[in-house]
Amino acid sequence: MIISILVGVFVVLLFMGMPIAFAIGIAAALAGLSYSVFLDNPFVIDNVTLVQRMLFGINSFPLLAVIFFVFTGAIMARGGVAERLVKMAEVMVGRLPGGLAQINVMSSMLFGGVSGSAVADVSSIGRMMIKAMTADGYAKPFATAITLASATMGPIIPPSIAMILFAYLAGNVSVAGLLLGGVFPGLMIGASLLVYAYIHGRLYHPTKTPILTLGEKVRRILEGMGGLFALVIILVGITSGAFTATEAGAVAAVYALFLTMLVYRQVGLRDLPSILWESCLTTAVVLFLIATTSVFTYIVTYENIPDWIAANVLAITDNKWVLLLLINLLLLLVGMFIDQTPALIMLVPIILPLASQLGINLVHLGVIMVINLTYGLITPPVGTSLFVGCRIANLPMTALILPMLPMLLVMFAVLMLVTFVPAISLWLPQQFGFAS
Amino acid sequence: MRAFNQFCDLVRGLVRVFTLLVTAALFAIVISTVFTRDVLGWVYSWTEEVPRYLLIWMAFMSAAICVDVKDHIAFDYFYQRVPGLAGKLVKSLVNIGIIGFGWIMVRYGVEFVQDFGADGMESIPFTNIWYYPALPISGALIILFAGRDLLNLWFAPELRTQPASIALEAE
Repeated sequence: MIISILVGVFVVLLFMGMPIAFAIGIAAALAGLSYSVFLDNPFVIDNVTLVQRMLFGINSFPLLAVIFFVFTGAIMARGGVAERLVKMAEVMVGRLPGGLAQINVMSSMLFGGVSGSAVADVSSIGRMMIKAMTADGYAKPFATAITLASATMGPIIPPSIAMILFAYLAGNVSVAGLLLGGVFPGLMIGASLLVYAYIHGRLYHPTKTPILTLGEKVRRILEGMGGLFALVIILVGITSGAFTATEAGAVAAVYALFLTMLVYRQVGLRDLPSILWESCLTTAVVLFLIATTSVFTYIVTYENIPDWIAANVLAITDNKWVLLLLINLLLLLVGMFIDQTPALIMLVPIILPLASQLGINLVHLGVIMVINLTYGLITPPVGTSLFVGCRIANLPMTALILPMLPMLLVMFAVLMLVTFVPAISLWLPQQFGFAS
Repeated sequence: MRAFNQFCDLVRGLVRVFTLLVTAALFAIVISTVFTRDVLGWVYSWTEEVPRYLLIWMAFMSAAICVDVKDHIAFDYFYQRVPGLAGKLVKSLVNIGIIGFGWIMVRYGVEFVQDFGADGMESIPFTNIWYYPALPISGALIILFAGRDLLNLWFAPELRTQPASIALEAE
């Protein structure tokens, strides 16, 4: 009864277009009210408890990492790092067939190690590469599709806000383990798209970029390394135990300020308030969702829903591989309609007990969930990165479906590999002692 | 309507300045803590606790502004396609829902502050009155900004902010 109200109200409000955080909060408030009206039990969750849980839901030191990583990504995107990474990528893959498509993918792979955001990737790399590829004779839908597909590496390759969120929601999973767990899957997505761009280049677009002098190559690589050093700070800082994830984010933010203001000189003091404000708004969207969802989760847990779902699913199958396949399908479907952050916040508490009962490693599960929901950012009808890509290219969503299809198939194959070969996501964290 | 919109803009500007100051303080504390611990070998006991409270202020103030600039994530695929008067009614209902939730935040947030605001913080000699009010104040701002959108919808549609996704699709 209570759960029917909770889910029913949420779904109705969701389809009405209510912001998800408010839809969840209102559904939880009405469900709380139902305890006293229908069940004569006003003590489960009254409205004072609701506001208390909202406040305490985000009273967490690890969540501070979110704003630092968002700020680092924002200032790097604004400070000329993306342009330098594109030039570095040209040195690395520009001479292969389909040179510009290769550069597009490689740039996203490198920028993913700086921004942690697919949307930042599409808006910064996409702006440059879609224009350059179209001028070089590529069809605009193909150029946009490959930009979107390669942007999915952003939230998978560390630093990753989605991985930090998963660690916070799961409770006892190492952030460092999750960040390291995303390295190989992210690189595999990049490699598979590079192979696809190579084959496409051989068949339809064999143009290569001009030969660069050795001095120019060295200069470009050194300039690009400046941006990538933020990734080194984060990974080395966390894996060595020198920093927590929050502190690593803070140090990376200071480094990003130093690099973009003093070395590249593309960000001035006057730009800082707007970059900081942009970071505040992005972070607030995530934290407010966590705040309202903590009430939702409280009711779901009080009603033993995760255990009920676990028991019912386990009655159908207790094979962990079948279960992982079902989780993948569920997440891909959810990702088509709901953005990554709310989907993660709502589904982790539900899927986690099920996965734990079947002995699925939580770092493995976290990587799988993040990959699935990241793919959702570029699949219609709702995908934040998809919207940004369409805007930059000035194309309707429907124009991207056909050119994106083979790329999605390639990415799905990588997802299946990551799902059924746990070593891909677990080997690196295990080497550093962050996963069992 | 213009005067009311100007008032809302003024409030938004003030909240922005306050939030930026809070966030700058948060950054300064965490960054200086890394420096004092790793370089000087000591830390103040409150450097883990105070940034959390600053984060709460930042989050709730910015979340209210996100209502005004329509930054909150929504599944608005169908919502934006409902035509004419029906569309206006759906948008109005959404705003009324947001105002209702803002009212819960204000009404019960104030009660929560009154009941528990005098409790002490963990590592500093202050009471929770310094951070609990973030929630009811955010609720009041949410009511103001959703109210602005509701009024603009009926009386000054040209002043309405478009949701980010629609602005993107429209281009």
